[in-house]
Amino acid sequence: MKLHPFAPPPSAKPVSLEDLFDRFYFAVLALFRRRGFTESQCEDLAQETFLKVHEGLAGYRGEAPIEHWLFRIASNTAKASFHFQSAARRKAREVSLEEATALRPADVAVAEPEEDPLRLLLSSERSQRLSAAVDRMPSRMRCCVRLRLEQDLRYREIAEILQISEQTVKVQLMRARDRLRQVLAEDAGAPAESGAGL
Amino acid sequence: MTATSHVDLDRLAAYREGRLAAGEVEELQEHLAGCPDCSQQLLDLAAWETALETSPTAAMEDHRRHRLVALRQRIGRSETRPPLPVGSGTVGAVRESGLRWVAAAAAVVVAVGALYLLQVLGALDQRESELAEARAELAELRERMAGAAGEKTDGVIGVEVDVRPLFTVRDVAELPPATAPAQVHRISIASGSAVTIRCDLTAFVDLPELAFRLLDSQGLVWWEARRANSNLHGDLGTEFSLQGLSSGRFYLRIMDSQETVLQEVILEISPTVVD
Repeated sequence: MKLHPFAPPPSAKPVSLEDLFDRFYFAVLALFRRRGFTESQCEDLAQETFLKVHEGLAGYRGEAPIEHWLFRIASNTAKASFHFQSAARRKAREVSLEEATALRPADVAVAEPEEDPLRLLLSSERSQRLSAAVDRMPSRMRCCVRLRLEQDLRYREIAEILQISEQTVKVQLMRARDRLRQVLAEDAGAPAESGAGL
Repeated sequence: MTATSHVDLDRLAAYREGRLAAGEVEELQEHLAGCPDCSQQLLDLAAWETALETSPTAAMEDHRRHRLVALRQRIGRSETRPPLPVGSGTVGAVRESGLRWVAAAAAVVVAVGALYLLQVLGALDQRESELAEARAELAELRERMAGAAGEKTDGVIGVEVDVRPLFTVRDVAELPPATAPAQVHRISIASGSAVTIRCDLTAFVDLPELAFRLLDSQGLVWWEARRANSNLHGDLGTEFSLQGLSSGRFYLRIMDSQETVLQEVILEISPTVVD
């Protein structure tokens, strides 16, 4: 059986900083990497996280599982640091270094958000009809569309969030695009060449 | 569930493990679709879990050890060291600046080792004659110990355990047989409490330099320092204050400049229960 990461510690003995460091160092690093920090920033932030853990450990009363507590400290450290990033950095997508350098044909083909024709259309006079069409979609398809358009997430991330395969995400978005095309076609009286943003 | 009331971590974890009912799943997914904060947290959680499920390579573990040492040093720098309860200012005792994690309050002090050392520790401003007496006693004791162990030893180490009030010292002052070439002392202190180790270094007064190293049983170096003998000149000893050691066995080694081990102290750290 898979051990849940937030399961209570195996014994009730006091937790030391070293134990936590051994157990969670790479998980903390992974969290920062996912947030798109550079490798050296990740290491600095991990040190900062464990420094806070050290400072807070004496006051930790075990109300929440220690894993919850540590995850929150790391998560808050990431947020606080992200806040101080430059505006340009903030606009950058939150991806890991590996993801940024990895070859991902499926995602490479995706248009940039600002060039997204569907996005432009949604802000046009037809947006209401399109929004209504999105609302009428089945739940899963609607979630895929919103995660893609509103949160600008990758297929892989959408799949992770909805606990479905990446292939299913692609299929759902393809069908959604067809539906929206149809709505636009009905509007214009002719097939529309849009929806590529999905 | 609205975008302003975020999903708590338990619920996100339950969702990932498939522990939510079908209706709850759909409700949560709808929320996630409209709440970037929660979907980011879920992605963080996924990265976190994946990392926890991945076994680190030897190189990664090595890297982690180094980072822990760096963290320890950073913590050491950020904390100040209160005065030592007993023996502070002992005839020229060298104050170690390496690890300064020191207990905050009143301390239990246990002197392990030789009677001479107790005398010396108490003699904060001893005159030279008393010092000579102590040295003579040291020489005698060294002979006795070397005889008992059937081998030569190069000095005696006294160990003081300086413990935070919440912890109790148990099983202290055991003096096991010496092991070549190091002389071994074994103490038990509560995990997380502070220990002050006072080392007599008169035996090494002829050496140009001494090196100190604290290791755990995996060989991870927790702290190390080198001291030129000019810094030790005329001193009876040197002190280390270490705090935050986890359970397990630690080795404090006193070495010459070639890193030949002259003496070794084994610290058995065990999580004792508060009375």
